Amino acid sequence: MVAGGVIVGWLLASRPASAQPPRPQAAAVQDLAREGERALAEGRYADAQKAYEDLRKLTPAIAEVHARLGLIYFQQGKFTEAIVPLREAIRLKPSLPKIGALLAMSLSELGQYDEALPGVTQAFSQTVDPVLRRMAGLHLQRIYLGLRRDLDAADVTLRLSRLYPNDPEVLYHAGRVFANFAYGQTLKLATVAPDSVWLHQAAGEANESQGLHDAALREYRQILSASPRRPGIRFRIGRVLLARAKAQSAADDLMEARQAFEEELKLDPTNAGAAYELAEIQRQSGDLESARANFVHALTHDANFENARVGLARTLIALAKPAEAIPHLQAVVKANPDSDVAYYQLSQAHGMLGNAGEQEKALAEFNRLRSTGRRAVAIPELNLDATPQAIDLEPPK
Amino acid sequence: MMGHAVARRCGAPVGTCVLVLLAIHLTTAQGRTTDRVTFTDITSQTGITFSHNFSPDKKYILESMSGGVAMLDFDKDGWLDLYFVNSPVVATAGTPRSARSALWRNRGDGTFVDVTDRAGVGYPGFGMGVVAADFDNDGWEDLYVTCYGPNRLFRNRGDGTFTDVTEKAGVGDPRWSTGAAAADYDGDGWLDLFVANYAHVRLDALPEFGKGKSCEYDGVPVQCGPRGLPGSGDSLYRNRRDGSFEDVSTKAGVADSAGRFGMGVAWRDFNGDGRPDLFVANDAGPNFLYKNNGDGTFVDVALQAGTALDENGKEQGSMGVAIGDYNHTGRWSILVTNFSDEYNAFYRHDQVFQFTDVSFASQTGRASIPYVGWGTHFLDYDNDGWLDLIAVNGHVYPQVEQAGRTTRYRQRKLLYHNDQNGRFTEVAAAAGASLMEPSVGRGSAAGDLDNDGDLDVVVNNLDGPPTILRNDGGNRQNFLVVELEGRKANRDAIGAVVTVNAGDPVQRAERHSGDSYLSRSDPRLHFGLAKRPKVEFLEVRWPNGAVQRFGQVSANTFIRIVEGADTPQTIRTRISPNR
Repeated sequence: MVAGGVIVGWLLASRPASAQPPRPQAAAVQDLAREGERALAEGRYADAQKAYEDLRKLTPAIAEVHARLGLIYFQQGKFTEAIVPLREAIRLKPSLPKIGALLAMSLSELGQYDEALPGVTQAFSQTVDPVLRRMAGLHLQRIYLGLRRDLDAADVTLRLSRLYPNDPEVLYHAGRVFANFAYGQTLKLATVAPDSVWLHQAAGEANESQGLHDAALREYRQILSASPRRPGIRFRIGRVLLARAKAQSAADDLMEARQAFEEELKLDPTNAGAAYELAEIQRQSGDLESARANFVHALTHDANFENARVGLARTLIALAKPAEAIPHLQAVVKANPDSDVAYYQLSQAHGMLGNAGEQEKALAEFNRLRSTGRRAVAIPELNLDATPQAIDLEPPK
Repeated sequence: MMGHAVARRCGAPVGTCVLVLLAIHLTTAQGRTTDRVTFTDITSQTGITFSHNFSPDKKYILESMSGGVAMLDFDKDGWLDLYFVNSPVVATAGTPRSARSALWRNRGDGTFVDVTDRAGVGYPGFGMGVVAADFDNDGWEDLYVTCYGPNRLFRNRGDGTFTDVTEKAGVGDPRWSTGAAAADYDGDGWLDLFVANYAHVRLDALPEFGKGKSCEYDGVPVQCGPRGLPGSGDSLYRNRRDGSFEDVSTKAGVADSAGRFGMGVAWRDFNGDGRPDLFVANDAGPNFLYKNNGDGTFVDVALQAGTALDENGKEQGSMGVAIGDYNHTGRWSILVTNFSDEYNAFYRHDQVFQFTDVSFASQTGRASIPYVGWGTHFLDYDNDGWLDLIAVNGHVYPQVEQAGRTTRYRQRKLLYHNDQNGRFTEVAAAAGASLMEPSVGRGSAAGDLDNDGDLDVVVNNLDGPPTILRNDGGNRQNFLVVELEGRKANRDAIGAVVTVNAGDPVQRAERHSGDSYLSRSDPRLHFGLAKRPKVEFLEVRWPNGAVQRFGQVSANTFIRIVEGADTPQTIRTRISPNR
């Protein structure tokens, strides 16, 4: 069930206040309506349900009463029961707002996706109410998945992610949808091309993401056996070796990684990721001039490569050239105001130049990010993995 | 180098001593096949039987942080003695005599004798660190021992015994103290005392092993803390010159009201204004760099100066601190040892209070990442005139080896040779097996234990006996050792800066007391002179700003300079075996 705890709020606008029962029953109707509303407000859904069921008997022609009862059922997860009064409400008063969406979502909850689809689609695309739109979007996502319309599900997921970028439920479902999608596509790949380099690459990346370094290397090296000059593979091998070097403090892996990045660059000089990783190894080895050259190389082929720009700036600072570092760091913080690393480096560069005011400004931004916890999260770019410029390991002590 | 069988403590005239020592060196030199400098573990030959208490599982953080070691010449016989700090484990903490710290007197023949009981310094409490300094200006170095619980000040009576004067002095900080260092911050000629404190824990309410978010390491249950524990503020004690001290922490602005986890501390005059500034390494938090305002107050400039955090702007688990002018710029740079998966932070001092993190540029950072670093020193171990680096390591969690990583509980040491171009090369493996022998190192001190002109290293290991590392071959190149004695200044001359010009490059060192990890090194200043036969001139800037300049001084001598005296006194000479 899609979480619906807030649905009461957006339906309260359609209170059954306009209902006008016949005179003799007026007092009873008033009492039941009052009791039903009070119970609903207090979350006593069973009592609210009882009051509105009685009210429906007294006022069967009032659409709002049916709508209210449908809502109460919906709130309790009684979707089968909800459908009847909701349909009746729409029949009696088609203009009643939001009831169509509620009916569609009830149908969705019951797995009646075909019937639910038009109403949910309409609710997601036409409503301006963010709460209703969010719920409708999540239902639409589910409906498309249920109907095996994966591409439509992916499309809705992306739209939801844009509309609600920090919503945990949206994030969760997005992860799930894309994971399922990836899984399905990979299964298909294994079926249609079981010996292809693409399948080896997919397996290599899957192993790499799980820290299974040796298995990942096996897959990547199989690709090179079949296709020795295939671009990108040596870069991936280098990345795995870097990860293994870090986990096992293995100097040999580091040397081999360096060699892999150099070979990748010979094969494909436009591989900014390889240039960046090579530069980072050189920077961390104290070979600052070579590092600078390779950071520049990376930026030549990918001007928006934020980590490479920070790496270049950091190298320039270590080379005692803070004035040259500052424009790069300013470009980074302009593009990504949450880059605490860039602000910190900026403060250091200004400090070296004696720009006390600018240093304080950069430190103020850095401290703001630290205090609010809005530090840049190292999310791998979609098409280019890279060692981030921030070390994210928390000391376990 | 120390400890050869024929060496005897020399009470004879200097000339006789020289001949005896020359004979030793000639004998030894015949056996050498290489010019490589090595460090040899001679602990078993020294007669030192001290062993630090330990619990195998280290279920509580209290059991992982001790202890320091001090090199001091408590009896003024010209040979460095050793004081090792010990601590009980939690289970025995209620038994005052369950942990015996120890003072070992250097006999001058390569062996030591335990004089703890006579000296009366065996039971300071739940010991952590130590600093030695002449707090009462009587010419004898006193001992201040930091503890979990009240710290202890032992006054040196000059007759081989010490008196516990903590109560009268008012320096018994009752918190969990760690690093301590002495300096005359207010310039009155008397040494003051800074004490770092760590975390607030109660023995009867210790956080339970492995229970909680901060009690796991890579999924393996470990001791808790320091994250998750309340931190403790720090203390600055001003010497009232009458045997008592005033707690001026808050007034001076160094009380650390936020309660960071203080560890190693060191005083140095970073801006050359004649007033000592203060660096405090904080575990799991930004470090402090307190600039001395000269009016009794300090201001923390670490963030602006670039010494608070790592190069990513991230706080580290900092432990020990070394300070030195490794690149001959006339400015003190800082090396901070850190937790594993971090790197030892090397802050190069480029402009006054403006540092650059050159950990990777100097090639010292990467090698340090797998290790938990503690004691550390800038030391010219090969006497080539350039400060090298050593870092002592050892993990805090015995359980670390269950975490499926290559990190080990016992760890080797790191020795970096200064390549004289801003970079260092890690050379421990080439400097003898002793440095590669894994141990659970903590405090360390560097100094010339055998007065042979090169720097030895002593490590207080947490899980057992210490390691005495004799420098073999460092004195194939020339040296000068300078001892200072203040008159108007504090008697130890702490804060005095010696500049030695033996040709390019000019070297500088500042007399200090307390650094590394909770430890105190040789109080004498050691200068490597490479092949130079003499120092062209030597300059002393005393803490009160007065400057004395002296003409040529021969290499391979130990000299004493007394404030105001016309000439240095030669204490002993030593002829290097290559001559």
